[in-house]
Amino acid sequence: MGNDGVSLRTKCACGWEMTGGEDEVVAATIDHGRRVHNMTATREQVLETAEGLGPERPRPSTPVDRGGGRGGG
Amino acid sequence: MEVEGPVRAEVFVVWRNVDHLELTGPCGAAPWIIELDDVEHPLEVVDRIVRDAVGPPRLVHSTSWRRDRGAIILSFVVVIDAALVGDLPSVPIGRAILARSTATSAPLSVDFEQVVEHGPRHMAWLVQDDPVVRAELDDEWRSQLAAFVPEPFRALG
Repeated sequence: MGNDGVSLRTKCACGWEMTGGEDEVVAATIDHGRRVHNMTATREQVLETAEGLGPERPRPSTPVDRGGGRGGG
Repeated sequence: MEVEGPVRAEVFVVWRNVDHLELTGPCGAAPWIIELDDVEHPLEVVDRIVRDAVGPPRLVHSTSWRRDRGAIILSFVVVIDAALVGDLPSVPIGRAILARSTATSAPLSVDFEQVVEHGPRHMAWLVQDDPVVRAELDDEWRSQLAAFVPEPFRALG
C-alpha cells in the first residue's frame, strides 16, 4: 500500500479532482465517491482510472521523509 | 470517475438568494449525480447524501424522470437554506423553454436547463397544492416561485 514515489491525479466527472500520493489520492477519491455520489469504489478501481504524474516530490510544507509513514504529495 | 448504474438521481440544489433563486451544489452549480440502488428508496438516498455533503435540506422532491446516458435519471429539487451555501459555487437560475413530449413519446432531447426549468415549475404547483411544501416555503419563496407558475394557473390564483 505504499506510494512508490509516484504522484497521481484522479478526476471525477463532476469536476472534483485530487492530486497527491497514492494513499492520499485513493482515500480521498473513495471518500468523494461514497459521500457525494453514493458510489462504492475499491482501491483497485480508483487506481485503474488514476493518472500518473511522475515521481512524487515533497511539498514545501511537508516534512522530509524520516524513515516511515507516507511521503509528501 | 463517473457515476454508473441503471438508476441515478440528478439533484438540483436550489436556494433563495434574497430576491431570486439560485442553483448550487457540492459539484458546482450543476446537476449533481448520485448513484441509486434497489435497496434504499431514492428519496432516502438523496436526503442522506445531501445531509452529509451539504447539510439538512428543507425539501427534497422528485420532479421528473427521463432515460438518458443508458440509465433512468430521476430528477430531484432539493431546497436548502441560504446559511448552508457558504463557499459553494452558485448561479442564478435562468429560464428555458420546456422539453415537450408528444402525446405518446418522450422528447427527442432534454437539455439540463430544461430540467432545471421544470423543477421550480413543479415546486410552484406544489406550493399551491401540497400543504407540506406550503408549510416549508415562506412568502418570499412563494413570491419567487410565482414567476414559474404557468399562465392559466396564475390567472386562477
